[in-house]
Amino acid sequence: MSSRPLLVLALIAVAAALPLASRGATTSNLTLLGVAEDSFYNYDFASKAVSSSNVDWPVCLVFYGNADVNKVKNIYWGITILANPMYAYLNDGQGFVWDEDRGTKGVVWSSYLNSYVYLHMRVYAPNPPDYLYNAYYGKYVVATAHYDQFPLESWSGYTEYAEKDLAAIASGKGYAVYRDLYYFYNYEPYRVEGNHIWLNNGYATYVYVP
Amino acid sequence: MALSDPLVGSILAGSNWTLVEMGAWVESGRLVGAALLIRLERPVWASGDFRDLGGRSYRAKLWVGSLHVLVDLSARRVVAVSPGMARPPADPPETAVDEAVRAVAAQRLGARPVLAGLFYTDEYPAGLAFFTATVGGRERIIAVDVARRVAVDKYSGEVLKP
Repeated sequence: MSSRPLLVLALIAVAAALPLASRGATTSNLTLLGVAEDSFYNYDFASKAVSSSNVDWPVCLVFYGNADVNKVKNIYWGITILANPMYAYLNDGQGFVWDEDRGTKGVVWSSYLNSYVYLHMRVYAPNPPDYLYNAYYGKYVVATAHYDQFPLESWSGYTEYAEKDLAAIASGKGYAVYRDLYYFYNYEPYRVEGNHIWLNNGYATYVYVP
Repeated sequence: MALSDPLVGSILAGSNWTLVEMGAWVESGRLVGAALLIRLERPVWASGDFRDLGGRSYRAKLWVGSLHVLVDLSARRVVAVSPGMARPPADPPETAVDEAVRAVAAQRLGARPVLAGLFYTDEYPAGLAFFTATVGGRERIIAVDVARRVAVDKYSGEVLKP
């Protein structure tokens, strides 16, 4: 199962924008993705409301094989308490549930920005059991990623750079990494919305966790 | 417009630089202006009053490796300059902190640290100093509360290099 996952994701539905007072950011690409009997949205949310005006960051990483949320966080900095919780809406074949996560977070040197930044990844799966499962991906989790400005956290963003850094860290620790493997329909050109800096190529990276 | 801003201009005068990204700056669905990410070829020591993307102002002295700049196209002026703190190439060209503050970081790091930056915020009006050192191939950053001369764990730790 250490080979790259073969099953291509299916786009199930495009979410309608619902009127909602939210603290999230806005995208025009919110979409439900399907893998076998499972499905999940291609963004996480700022609260437990599915809305294109309530998103936080694009889903850009899948850890598969024999993954679970804590095992994946322990590849990086473990569990963090120094972050706000965000939310994912997922279906492991038995109905949709919300998962909440603060993520894993630490300081890295970003060669893209020539600066120190926080690298922050939130990892999602129904809890319990803290992983999704299907015959193609095994036990897997999905993740969003971004930089936070260091040290004041005055902005957040650059999903694409964060995804690349997280992939490089995993690769450096011996994990099999498949960069930009499948299109997740969440391309975001560079733009600033509040303190949210969007940048994502729309392709997700896969990391095999034995 | 961005380059004519005195703070941006003075920082960019210190190094070659690249405009890495440029795009729209929107608020509540309305186009307000332009956002720029500028990456400096080598760090520049800068001191000034900065204004971040959320509108908060603070004073800082730091080695700058990149700049985020917001330009309000209606007002035709720069409204935010947010510096990225770079890995310090050397001690800064001014005495930004006294040696007692550096000694706090040195004790934690087990090596002579170099100052990367000093931020003056509401929580740290006398300054929060950031020092770095690489020991045994591992880079660490230590934050020191200048007023209390103690390390601040929340901002300290190993720096991963992806």
